[in-house]
Amino acid sequence: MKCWRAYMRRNFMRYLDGELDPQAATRFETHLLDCGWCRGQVARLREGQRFARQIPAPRPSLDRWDEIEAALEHESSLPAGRQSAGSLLRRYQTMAAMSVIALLVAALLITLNMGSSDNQMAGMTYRDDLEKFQAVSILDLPGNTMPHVVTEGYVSELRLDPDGDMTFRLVEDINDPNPFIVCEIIKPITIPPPAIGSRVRVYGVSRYDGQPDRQWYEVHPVLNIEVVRR
Amino acid sequence: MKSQKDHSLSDERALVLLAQIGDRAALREIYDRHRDRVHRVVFYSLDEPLLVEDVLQTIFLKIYRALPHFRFEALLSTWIYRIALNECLNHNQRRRPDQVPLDAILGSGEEIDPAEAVDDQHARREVSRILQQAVLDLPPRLRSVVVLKYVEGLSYDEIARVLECAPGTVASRLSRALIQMEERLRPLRGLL
Ligand SMILES: [Zn+2]
Repeated sequence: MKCWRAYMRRNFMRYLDGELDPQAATRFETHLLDCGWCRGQVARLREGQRFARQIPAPRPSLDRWDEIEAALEHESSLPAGRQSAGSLLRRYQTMAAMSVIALLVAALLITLNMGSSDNQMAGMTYRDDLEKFQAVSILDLPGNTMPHVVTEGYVSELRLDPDGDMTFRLVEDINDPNPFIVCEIIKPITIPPPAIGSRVRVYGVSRYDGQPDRQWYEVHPVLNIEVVRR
Repeated sequence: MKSQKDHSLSDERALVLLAQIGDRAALREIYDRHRDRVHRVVFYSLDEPLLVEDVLQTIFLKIYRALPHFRFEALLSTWIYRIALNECLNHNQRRRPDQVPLDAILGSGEEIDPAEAVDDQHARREVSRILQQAVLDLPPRLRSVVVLKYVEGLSYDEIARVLECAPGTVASRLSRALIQMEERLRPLRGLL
């Protein structure tokens, strides 16, 4: 006869996968001693699991990259009216062109910036306010509780997001990618982006990005960048 | 360990950002990194085994078309699994072929004597084929949880994110799937 304790039945898989906490596992095992039906089910599941663990993982026998690339090329070569909704390469080409323009503008701004004195305030009119920023090293940013920070490091890479924001990484040691923080200049980009390899002081809002694919500390948005060494 | 994971995640983000602006090497890298997992999922999700490679190609084109809209709200692999499974589902719904049920391969439910296996390699191939068929005989919803759990090695939470359902649903589908597999493969206990 089927066991009436539905909540026990719900535990079968978690028990077998070791996902029950020790107390719940003990309760479940105690129940198993008294319940032949559940015992039988667990035995069947365990056997099913044993089979499932042997399911082979097939590997592709062909490399389809050439066909995929050709299909992408083909889509981008169709006249506008005949393109599929996602005419990928054309869209990419437009985005790439926009990124190049944005980077050229950025480079121009950097060049203009180089013409003026070092340690200048870029894009800030409220110089006095800068004193209110908490000075924190890259390494200490995780322990920081102040909203506004200033932190110093080397610019290790610079990227333009498709949505128009610009990010760069700041590292302690130019030859070591870790530890790092990510600095984000939000659009419209009025702060000249720093040159890769330069040492800068970055002023902005400290935060932690907890998204599963990020999980890093950020200065976001960046409010000011001071060039320490080019 | 954590910093290594963070590093690979940020590495993935950089890769996607590059791909989003059309960097061909980045598109290729995404293909290289995810081709095998897409292939495994398609292999077990598609009703027409002969079309696995074609569907894989279609899936990558869909991935690339959708990539500019990828907003890093999930891991790239989670997002890719989702696109792959949806494409297989659509494909299966468009055309339902005649399947060869496991019974046709196994004959009746009699025990198979392992001693009868003349050649070990041949026996192993047969076992693989039978296990594959047992998975393919599961209803699609049960099949995908089994593959994501036991072939792909995802946790309940990760599977729930791919299938956009509750982890409890994953557990209950998994238990139904395993009971069915146990039932079908019981005659082969001696071999497996
Ligand atoms: Zn019971």
